[in-house]
Amino acid sequence: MLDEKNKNRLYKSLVVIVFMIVLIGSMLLLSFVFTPTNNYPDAGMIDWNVKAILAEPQNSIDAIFLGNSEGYYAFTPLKIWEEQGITTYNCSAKGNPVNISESYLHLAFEKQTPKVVFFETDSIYKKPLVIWQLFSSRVVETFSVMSYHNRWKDMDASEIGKEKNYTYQDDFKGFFMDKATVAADPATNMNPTDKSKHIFYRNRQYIIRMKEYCEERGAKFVLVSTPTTKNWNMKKHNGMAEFAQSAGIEYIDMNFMYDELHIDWNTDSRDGGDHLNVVGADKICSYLGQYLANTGLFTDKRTDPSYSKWNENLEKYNNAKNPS
Amino acid sequence: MHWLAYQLLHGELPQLSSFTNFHFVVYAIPCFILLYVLMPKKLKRYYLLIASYAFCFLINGAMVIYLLVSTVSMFGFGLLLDKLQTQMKDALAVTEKEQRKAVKKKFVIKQRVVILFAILLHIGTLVVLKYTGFFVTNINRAITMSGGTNLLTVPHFLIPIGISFFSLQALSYILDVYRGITKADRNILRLALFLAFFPQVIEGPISRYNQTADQLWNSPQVNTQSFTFGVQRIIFGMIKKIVIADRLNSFVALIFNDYAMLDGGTIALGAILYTIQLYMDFSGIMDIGLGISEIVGIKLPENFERPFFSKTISEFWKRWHITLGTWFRDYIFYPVSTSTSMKKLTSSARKKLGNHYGPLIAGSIALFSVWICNGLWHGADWNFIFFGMYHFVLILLGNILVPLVRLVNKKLNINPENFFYKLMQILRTCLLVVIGELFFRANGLMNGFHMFGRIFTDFSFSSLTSDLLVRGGIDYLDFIIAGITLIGIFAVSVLNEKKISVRELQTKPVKGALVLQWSVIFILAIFLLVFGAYGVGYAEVYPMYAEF
Repeated sequence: MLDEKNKNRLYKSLVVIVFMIVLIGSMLLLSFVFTPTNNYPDAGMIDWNVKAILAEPQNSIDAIFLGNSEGYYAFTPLKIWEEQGITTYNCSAKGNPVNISESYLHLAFEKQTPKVVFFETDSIYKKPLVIWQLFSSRVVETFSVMSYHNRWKDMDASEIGKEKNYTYQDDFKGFFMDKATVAADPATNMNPTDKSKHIFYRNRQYIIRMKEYCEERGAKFVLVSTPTTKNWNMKKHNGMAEFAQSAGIEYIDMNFMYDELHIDWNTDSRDGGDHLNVVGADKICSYLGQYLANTGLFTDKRTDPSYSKWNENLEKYNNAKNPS
Repeated sequence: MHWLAYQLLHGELPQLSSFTNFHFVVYAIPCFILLYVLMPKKLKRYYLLIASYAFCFLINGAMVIYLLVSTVSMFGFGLLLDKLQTQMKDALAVTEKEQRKAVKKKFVIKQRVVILFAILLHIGTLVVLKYTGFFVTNINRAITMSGGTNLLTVPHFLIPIGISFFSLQALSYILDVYRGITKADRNILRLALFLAFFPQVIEGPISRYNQTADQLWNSPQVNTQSFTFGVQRIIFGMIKKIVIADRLNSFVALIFNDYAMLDGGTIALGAILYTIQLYMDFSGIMDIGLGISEIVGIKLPENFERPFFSKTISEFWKRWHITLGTWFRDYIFYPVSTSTSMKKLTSSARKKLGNHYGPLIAGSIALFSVWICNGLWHGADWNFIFFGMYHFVLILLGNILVPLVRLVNKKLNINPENFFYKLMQILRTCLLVVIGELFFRANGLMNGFHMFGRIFTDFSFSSLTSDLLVRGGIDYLDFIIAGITLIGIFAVSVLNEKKISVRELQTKPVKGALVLQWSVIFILAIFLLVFGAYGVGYAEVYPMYAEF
């Protein structure tokens, strides 16, 4: 039999344990209630452009792009479709750290079997998330109310309890079309130097893990540095080139290819050389489309009736670019 | 361990931003408490010290060296003062009565030299780091105005977070040893813990050695009551900070940055919202810090006592940032007002001006010293100096007008204890505080004057459009939820003001008190989870006072 002191202890412990159970249960319930039932942008889904890949027909995407805002504004799948008939999807999102890109890689492979995965390199030089941030992103994934709690402002009561169904397809396949033009200063970012910038250990590990993940699934993993006068330089290039070589990853630095790509810094950036706009995006995707075509891995699907939606989207894309 | 060594070599270790950081709250605090509970009694003090230094390192990186130097210096200065005091006692014991005064004076001078060096080190470091840029900028301004072109380079120093707080705390210990209020501590680890204890290191409270050093070193066991109420206080503080202060942040910033496009009504609203934001931010962080301490059984001094119930500005400053106010009172006001020259001034003024106005002259000089220091302590800019002088003038006027107010009340038969009279006093004090905060927050003194002027010359709310709200990242629902939360906090404050403890109410039920207490925690936690201004769409807002 328990004495009074131990009974008291047991009672206190039980109160705390019951509290924890009720709290966790409530958080899970609230997560269910607050998570949008669809991936429409208006439904409040975070990175809806990326998650819309889940609504694409199974095994319909040939290649995907990953990265942060540099990739978000630079990789335009419909340009590649227009010129090569190859289906690609842009899974980049603004401010994405490398580990989140890794989770988007896994998300993309849920329903697709892309043969090439391009990774925009800018985020690799960003400080990786610290250990408790990584734990936290797991917690936030589990308790999604932490991400979607602000939906209390505009939630529709009829949504509550509905099954989650990601049916929304993004017309531009994850790409954000920005037509703003802010001229950049003449590019001096690639002035020669022997110095190289250090890449964070954990980011190296993420990249190597992603490369292995892709290879296990028969996909080629390629690092790409898109043109930017503000975020890339020779030191970063050297560091990336050394890393890519040591990890056995193919690396394309478009910052050496301004002439070849016909990059004009007066017209091709949305914000003075920080990111590309749609004009610049079209130019680099012409190159990447050719690159994909040269691999010989893909067939031209422009006349395939099951891909007719892509042609409709291309029309929307060109209309949005040049409204009549 | 390879990865850890690699990361250390390449400076990849994580940096914390504050203890309101989501990750810190979710992981670091629970881990800290769990390990504290599991730690053997004898080791708890060392654990607290290591945890505190780890926290300071993650916050400040290599600049944690400042904290270390402060600790070593206060240890050294304390021992030196103690040695001098012992020598003085020994010397006095063997000295003839008529020579004692001279001997004592000699040792007092020696001690004062030690104090001077201590002040030079602690306050000097603070002055160099915080004010050099301000001084050089003003010198450059003077050079430009006199037609000169050879401007000085304005230095920008990295300032360790919390230096404004721990420097004062270190100095208070040295001054207390000098005054004989506390004995010099021969245990440097106890001193280190007193100075570095992490819940107080970012924004205070500025503890005194006698208040916390022994408590910390004795590291009590965790008990259910303090644990439960500590958790409640942490969540209550987080609600203040994350539901209200952080929600208002971007809108307030927009008003103060773009005031030139806004009318007076919107600027006045901005000043009121900033005052609310500042109070909720600062007192919220205090609640979190004091809550963590309470969980481990440490009682830190309170820094707030419902300041917006104050009837005068003087009372306001006894209820707002209490530990800074008492620091200035004990180490500036009293030494200045009780100095020999001030005593002489008071006694001669008393003869000429009477018992009320006579002592007021010396008191006002001491008060001026306090408020110039208070203004400067908050930051190196003219608006902070103005902020200090503004409160100096208000308190001085309050002191001067006391007899007149009494006379008017008597003539008009007004009872100062009347509820509406007190309410008017409270509202007047709030208004004066809001005006002061407008200058405090303004981007420069001239902008403060422009904003203040606009309230009178262009008072309307025509610029308070939905477009402005969108640009400020806020909507009417944000105002509603902030308002509801404020009402809740106000209700708790009213109860406390009436000496009704919300905690006692929760301990009253004979059965189920613990269930009631944890139910309160549950409700607060869910409220915070849903209505907190965190995550997508919100930037983490650094504790505002940590920057001072």
